[in-house]
Amino acid sequence: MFEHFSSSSKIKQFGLLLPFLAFVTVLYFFIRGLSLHPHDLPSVTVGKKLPLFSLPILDGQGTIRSSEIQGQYTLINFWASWCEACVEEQFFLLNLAKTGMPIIGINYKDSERAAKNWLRTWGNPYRLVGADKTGELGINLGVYGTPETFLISPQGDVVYRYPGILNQAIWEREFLPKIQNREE
Amino acid sequence: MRYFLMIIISLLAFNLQANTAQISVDSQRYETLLKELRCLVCQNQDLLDSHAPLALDLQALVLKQMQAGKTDIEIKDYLVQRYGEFILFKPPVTPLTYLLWFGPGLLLALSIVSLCIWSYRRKHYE
Repeated sequence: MFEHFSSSSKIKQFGLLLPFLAFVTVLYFFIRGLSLHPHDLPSVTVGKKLPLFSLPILDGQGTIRSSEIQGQYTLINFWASWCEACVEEQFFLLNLAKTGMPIIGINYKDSERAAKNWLRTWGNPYRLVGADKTGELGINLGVYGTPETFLISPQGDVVYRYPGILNQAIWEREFLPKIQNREE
Repeated sequence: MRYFLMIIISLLAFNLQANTAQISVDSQRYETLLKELRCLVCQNQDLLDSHAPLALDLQALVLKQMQAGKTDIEIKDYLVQRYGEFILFKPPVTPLTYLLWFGPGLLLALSIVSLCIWSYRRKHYE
């Protein structure tokens, strides 16, 4: 009875095709999975206004307000002295600051002393550093780890967010086109 | 020494209990809500389970909002606006997630139908 069944050419063709299709489907998802990075989460803050905030300035008196970050493209960089990866991008940030790019540092969940020591050791590329002791601004911007960097437009919109260590290649690939496109 | 240790431990236990008693507005609701939220640092853990610094902050935030009288939906909305729908373990039903929600049922229906056809045909060949 089974021979009779399998000799039907239509079913035979279909029976061969099905495992092949299943294989190709699984292969597609496997290959796709290789290039997925579960920690690259799409940011919800991109395209929105920078949330209102007012933070104490780390080195000195006074506060830094979100309204002051306007008029030109600015980077907001979340860092902390306990963050080992932050050291790795510091060299790049120092170079970037020399080109005139304004960088605002947000010292994330840190102690004032440790943060100041860290800046003395690794260099300070920041125009201003605000201290986000409780991590409240971090939560408002959807930060889930340091370092994390936001590009703010002259109008005060969040244009782009990059979680992780910045370097020249990422800067040229992700940040520069966004600045140049808007300026044209 | 033994007595001393016992006293310390009981004091600690008492302290812990006092803390949780003070915090819990409705611990059942608090824990259920935290279980529905994803820890963004260790992504396969829920917020209740995780001890990552960010998870602890978000726990505190959820607690604060609950104490302020916010509903579960309001708290979830607040977090989704900042971290995206990824923070929800149970994704909402949108066109983007139709396949996720209805795919398994569709597959089941398809397999039942094909099984019926197959056995029907087999019977006829006999």
